[in-house]
Amino acid sequence: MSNGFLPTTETVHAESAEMVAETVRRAGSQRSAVYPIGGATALAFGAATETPGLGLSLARLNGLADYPARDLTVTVGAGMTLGEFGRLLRKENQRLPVDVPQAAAATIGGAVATNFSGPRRFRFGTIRDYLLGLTAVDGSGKIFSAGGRVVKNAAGYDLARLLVGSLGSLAVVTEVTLMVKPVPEASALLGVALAELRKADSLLASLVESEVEPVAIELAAGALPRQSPLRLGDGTAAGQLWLGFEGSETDVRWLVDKAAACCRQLGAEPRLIDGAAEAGELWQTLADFPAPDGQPTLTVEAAVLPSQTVAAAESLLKLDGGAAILCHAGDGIIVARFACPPDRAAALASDAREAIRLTGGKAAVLSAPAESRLDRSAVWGPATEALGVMERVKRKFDPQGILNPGRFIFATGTP
Amino acid sequence: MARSSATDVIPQLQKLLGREGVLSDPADLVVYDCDGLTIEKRRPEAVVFPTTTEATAEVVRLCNRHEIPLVVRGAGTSLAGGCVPIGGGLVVSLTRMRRILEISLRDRMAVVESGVLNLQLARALAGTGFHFAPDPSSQTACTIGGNVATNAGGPHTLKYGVTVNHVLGIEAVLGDGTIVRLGPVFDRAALDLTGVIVGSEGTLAIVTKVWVRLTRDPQDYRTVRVVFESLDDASAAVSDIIAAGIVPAAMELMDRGILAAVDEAYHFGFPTDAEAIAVIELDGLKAGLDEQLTRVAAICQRHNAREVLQAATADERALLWKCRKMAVGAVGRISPSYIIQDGVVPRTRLPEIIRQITRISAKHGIRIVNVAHAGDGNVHPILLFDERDRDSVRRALAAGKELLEQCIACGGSITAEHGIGIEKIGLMETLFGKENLEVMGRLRDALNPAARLGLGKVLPSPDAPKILETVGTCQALP
Ligand SMILES: Cc1cc2nc3c(=O)[nH]c(=O)nc-3n(C[C@H](O)[C@H](O)[C@H](O)COP(=O)(O)OP(=O)(O)OC[C@H]3O[C@@H](n4cnc5c(N)ncnc54)[C@H](O)[C@@H]3O)c2cc1C
Ligand SMILES: Cc1cc2nc3c(=O)[nH]c(=O)nc-3n(C[C@H](O)[C@H](O)[C@H](O)COP(=O)(O)OP(=O)(O)OC[C@H]3O[C@@H](n4cnc5c(N)ncnc54)[C@H](O)[C@@H]3O)c2cc1C
Repeated sequence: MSNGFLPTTETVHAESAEMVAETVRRAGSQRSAVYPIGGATALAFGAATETPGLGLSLARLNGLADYPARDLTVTVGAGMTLGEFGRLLRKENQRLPVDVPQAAAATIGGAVATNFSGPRRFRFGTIRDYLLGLTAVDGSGKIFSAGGRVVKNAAGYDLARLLVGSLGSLAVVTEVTLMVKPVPEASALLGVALAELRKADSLLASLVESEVEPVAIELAAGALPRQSPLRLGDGTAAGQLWLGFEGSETDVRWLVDKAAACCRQLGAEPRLIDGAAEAGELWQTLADFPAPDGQPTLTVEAAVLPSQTVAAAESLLKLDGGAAILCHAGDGIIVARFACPPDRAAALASDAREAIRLTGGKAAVLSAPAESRLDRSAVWGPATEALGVMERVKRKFDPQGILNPGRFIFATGTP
Repeated sequence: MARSSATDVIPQLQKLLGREGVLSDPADLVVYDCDGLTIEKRRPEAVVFPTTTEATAEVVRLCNRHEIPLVVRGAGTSLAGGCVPIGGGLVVSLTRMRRILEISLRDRMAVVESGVLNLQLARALAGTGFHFAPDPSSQTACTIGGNVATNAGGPHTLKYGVTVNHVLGIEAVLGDGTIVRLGPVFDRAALDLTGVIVGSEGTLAIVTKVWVRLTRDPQDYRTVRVVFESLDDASAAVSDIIAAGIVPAAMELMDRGILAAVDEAYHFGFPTDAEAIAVIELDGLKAGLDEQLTRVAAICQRHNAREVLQAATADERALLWKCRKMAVGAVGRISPSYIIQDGVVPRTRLPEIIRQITRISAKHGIRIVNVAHAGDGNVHPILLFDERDRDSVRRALAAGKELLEQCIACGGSITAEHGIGIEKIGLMETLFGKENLEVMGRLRDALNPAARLGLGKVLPSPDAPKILETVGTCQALP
């Protein structure tokens, strides 16, 4: 048992794509499961599985293959951590503007497999928007590559996009080519405490009318930790709205002034965070919100239309006023953390899913206490009409069903 | 059941779609022989015009029962022969599904049927402060469904990305007749099928409805035309601007050959001796634009720019963009036939590929004029020839092929935005190799198992219908 989440009997540390392929082939011939592991930060994500198998660590596939910085593209091993990757890019004043929790440990391959993103998603999108190509090993042990190394490419099917968010259930990613962006000159955050959550709606609506375009629109609500830098005011606020801005010094100054005026017009006095250190810490707090804090926690992620964000957050708070909630309000993404003993996780997840369904959205469990052993329907919800065709895709890439069996949406895959 | 002729099922089609929903009179079919790639033609047996997703699905199922191939068609502006029914059968035209169903600024989303024109959506959004970012040069004619199918780009792709970055969801009929609705709300419990159907050129699914993302209009623009002494200087300047970390909204190049035709057509008044002109647009907040422009101008000057002239009025900006976007339309003035190629290289290799284009033009005796979405490393060499002259056709195709092979050699790809269609299918193996194509084929097997939808397109196959004259199939010159 490597970590309480995966029933691994041993872990192989791959040194090359060929070794990944060989390991998968060997597992296939023994009909043994294979569990790819990157930085092991998100192994709580996915349904519980009892099928024993091999852990396949990508951590040593962490080399830099090519970084033509003037092209703003870079090719690295899937096991490189996002922290290391960030340092590499920083030297060229570039970055990948996708926020991943626990960047020091999380890997690029893991970020592709889990499709996680954070506050900057509003302006910068998700990893899929930066993924130009990759190399991977399918469930039969075949190495293949997809996409390319140019920023625009319409040749053939984009198999790289197919692997984003597939949770390592179609193929093991070994190398990734990404498009990167210049680091903006300046960054600032503007926060307002809200007496009631609904107030956020009028503020967000007035932003649509104004010319203010933040890169992040974050709404924090519920029981945030006492020392959380996200908290504002005297502690009685129902929520706090944080607007993030990036760009040239001139742009950011203009945006902050304008947004502050918007807030004041609606009777809210904003707090400006623009010192590099303080702003950096706040961005980090926002990005790390889903990360574990040592307490038994059920973390649910909901997605609704952006205009339904507040309603959805309220409905989750109604389930448990003690939940801590962070919404990427511009995208309608809500992450809710419930303090939850293992035996209550399944029921709470199901209640949360129903509450979100009523606001027109979908919900999935990001993590639950290990002992709760949530099954597929508890984690992912009921099967949708498109599951049939997704199952067909799964069988084409992993005919024996040995890659992360039972963890993602697929019924196939109990070897 | 053996393959039927589409004409055998006309009564069933009429029952599904009404008499007005089916064309089968040979005289009516002529315009469906080809698309924007005019050298490969094939007449369909019938053309149908469904108006709902369900009717589209019924057509697909009927065709599957009778083993009739089908090809989807939007506006038919494809430059890759994507709409040519090379295997015969039916053309499914989506041009009668052209309602804009919803615009929600608060959700930054519009819901449209696939046959809605790109320009139609742009017009509906004018004045709202938001727009749909993909702006292919063909936007007055092409459909949103076509943009989705080809993952279309345009001049402003440089800053805003291609179509896939702006699609929140789709409703589609898969090749096996299944209807799927994906999005618009993010679904973690799913494979990103939207992500792969976008850009699949009608070979996985027929997209009938699209949820598109809306982007805020920039507060202001700075649009400049920069006159260069050589194409080499111009492409080096573009590459340097990117490397400096500046992200203009667009950086387009036109060379002397195309400028002459453009000026004759639209009377902009470009200097007649300019070797190349770059159209560079910066957009965003008014406050920061002049600062950026100063940096861009300085880089251009380092590369011997003769002048950096800002469009003084909105009208002048509009005319400048018209010249760029309608440039291809002006080519008819200088050549009876032409092929617009679409290649892409890493942006730092732009000067190199431009030099190669000049070399290839001389080698094959084919005049080539150039436009380019230069900021993305995306070149559109336009090969001029005469369709009536067999030798000229042969040389044009050979030149096109060599050019795309050069793009591959530079670490690039054979299409950035126009797609593979039938035109480039012969180069797919050179680009990806057999092994990787096999893996791509699995996706088609899963979504479009009989491969009847979009028969003979995108993925090469030994039993596909023969294509006569494309860059992929032509004979190389010695
Ligand atoms: C739903 C969700 C919940 C999350 N919960 C938390 C959380 O509780 N705490 C936290 O800090 N962060 C969490 N994250 C964020 C996580 O840190 C990032 O997604 C990170 O990028 C995962 O990287 P990793 O290297 O740690 O992956 P791992 O945790 O090692 O693996 C995560 C999953 O991806 C698969 N995988 C990893 N690498 C590859 C590869 N190369 N090829 C194929 N499959 C691979 C694994 O099999 C596993 O299913 C969560 C993310 C998501 C999407
Ligand atoms: C002058 C000119 C300039 C151009 N400039 C650009 C440019 O700047 N950028 C760019 O990207 N392209 C450009 N193009 C190419 C072309 O306009 C685009 O590919 C456009 O997206 C095609 O749209 P359409 O509606 O005409 O599609 P069509 O040409 O009808 O179809 C294109 C392909 O998509 C498939 N298809 C169409 N609709 C659907 C649907 N609803 N579902 C499934 N499959 C479908 C067809 O089968 C075909 O394979 C240009 C073309 C011309 C003639």
